[in-house]
Amino acid sequence: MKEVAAILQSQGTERDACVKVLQEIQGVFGYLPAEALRYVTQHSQITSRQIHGVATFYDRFRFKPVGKHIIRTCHGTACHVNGAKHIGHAVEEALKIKQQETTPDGLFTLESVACLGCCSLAPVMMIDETVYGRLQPREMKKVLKQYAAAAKAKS
Amino acid sequence: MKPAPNNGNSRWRIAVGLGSCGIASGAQALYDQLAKRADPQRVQLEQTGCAGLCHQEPMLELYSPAGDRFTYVHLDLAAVDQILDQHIGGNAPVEKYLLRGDGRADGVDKFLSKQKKIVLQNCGGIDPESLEASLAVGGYQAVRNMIGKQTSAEVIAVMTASGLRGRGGAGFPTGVKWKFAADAPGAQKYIICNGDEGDPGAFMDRGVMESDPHRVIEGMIIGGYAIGATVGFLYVRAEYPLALKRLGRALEQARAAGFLGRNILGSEFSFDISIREGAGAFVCGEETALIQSIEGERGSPKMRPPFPAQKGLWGCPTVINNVETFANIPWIMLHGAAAYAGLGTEKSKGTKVFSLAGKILNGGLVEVPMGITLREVPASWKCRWASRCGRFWKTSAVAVPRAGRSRRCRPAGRAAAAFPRICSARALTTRTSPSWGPSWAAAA
Repeated sequence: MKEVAAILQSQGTERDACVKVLQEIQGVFGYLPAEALRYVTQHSQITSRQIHGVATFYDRFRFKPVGKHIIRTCHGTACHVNGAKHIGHAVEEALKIKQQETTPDGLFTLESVACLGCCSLAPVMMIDETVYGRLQPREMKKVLKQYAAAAKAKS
Repeated sequence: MKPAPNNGNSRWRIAVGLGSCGIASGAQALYDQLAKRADPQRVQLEQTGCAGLCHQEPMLELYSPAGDRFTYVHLDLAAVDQILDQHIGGNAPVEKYLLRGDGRADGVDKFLSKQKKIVLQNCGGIDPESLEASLAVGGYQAVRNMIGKQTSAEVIAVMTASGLRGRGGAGFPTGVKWKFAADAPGAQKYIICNGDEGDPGAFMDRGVMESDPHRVIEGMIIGGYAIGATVGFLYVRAEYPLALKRLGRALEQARAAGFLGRNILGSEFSFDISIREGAGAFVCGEETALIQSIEGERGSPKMRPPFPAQKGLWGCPTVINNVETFANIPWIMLHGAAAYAGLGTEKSKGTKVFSLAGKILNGGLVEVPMGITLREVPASWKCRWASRCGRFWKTSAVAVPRAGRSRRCRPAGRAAAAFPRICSARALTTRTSPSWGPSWAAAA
């Protein structure tokens, strides 16, 4: 829990640090581990009630571990018009997982997002922090393969 | 796009558009290729933000040593090689990828010619990660002119006289809001910049934050000076990682240069800004919910009054303005209230940035004077398909009447893009009219 102690030290232990503290914890672990949250409640003014309220309110927070890469398919209006559904389905099919799930090899987690603000390139998806625009299901599969190949090469 | 001159540079200068749209279209690969292949003795390679021409991405600007400017669009790796070999090597422009002037079938000229750029003045023209680039085009000049020379009341008077209204959607006069906060009792006051642009289809604020972050910061400094705030928050949604990165870097640069921090430019005025990252809640674009989020709580909107200008963040007087509002402010301070008030209509002054997306030819960002009819923007309007297809345009300016909930805006005859008329002309609808009933109607 050294990491969590450091986070509390830098962000403070007042109630109003809650969102920032959770963001930093998620930045370290990729999700919000129960032990880390327990540590926070024991060492700050932030209560378990507040944590639960905040963590379930904001879409970004999750209680389960995630894969190495997070895929976010955009379902904003412009993407919806331009076939975001098909892209979403194609990803699900290619990775054989559903929304919010992680592939068994721990490489990808699939999420959807309301709008990435690249509407003029719809439909788009974001892998980690890279946006891919004007997607066709076929290209999307190519991109996924590149990531898988890169991961393989590394291991 | 402001043509950046080549400043007596004897080298060729290449500026690659690296906004989110450009990167998503493959511009990063082009940049890397250029960095690898171009001879630094002959070519100076730079990055810029978004020029608003999303439909032309990936693109780059090439400036010859003579100062001529060429815009290359729809590029790929082969095109980059060709430009290096043929244009820079042999001084023969590569016609195939050149953005041509007159008479383009897809109306790029019209797309550009009706525009008046204030907010987007430097977007796509400067390197967003360089303070020097911003200073070279007048960045922080308004702050320099203001500090120690104008009183806060004078700054507020300029804002009021300019007629600037909040670009977040409600259109509240900025000067009046600032005056409320300045007059409100309390030792501690706050400035918040709302960069939680969550409305699907809207990406004006992303464009500005990614392409000209210093302009937003400068607007916030002026706001802080006017209302007597010492602390500012930039609330940016987590879905905009590039904007977050560039704003963070810009804040560090501004602090190092003495535009932020204690005793700014040697004056009594101290002001600093920190970034708060959103956590994926659409409703946090609404100001009272946003305040709750900064306070570390669930982002639940609160009843008003009291308005944030009286009782906002941690109960203190707080001014919340949108990114685009802040980006207008340095221009108004430099050019004067009258110049700004000379643009637009009687009740809606200045310009407005619109994001164009959907089934249209020229998607991207445009900035036009208020009061222009929706038909006039429309080189970009022309539908790719038949006239009844689902063309739409979305703007949070005309489209956020209350509580951060956006509405879809459609062309309604000659409706003018200005605050009062857009509503009366029924250009805004929340329901789908049967004659405009394409498949996406259920989306919102």
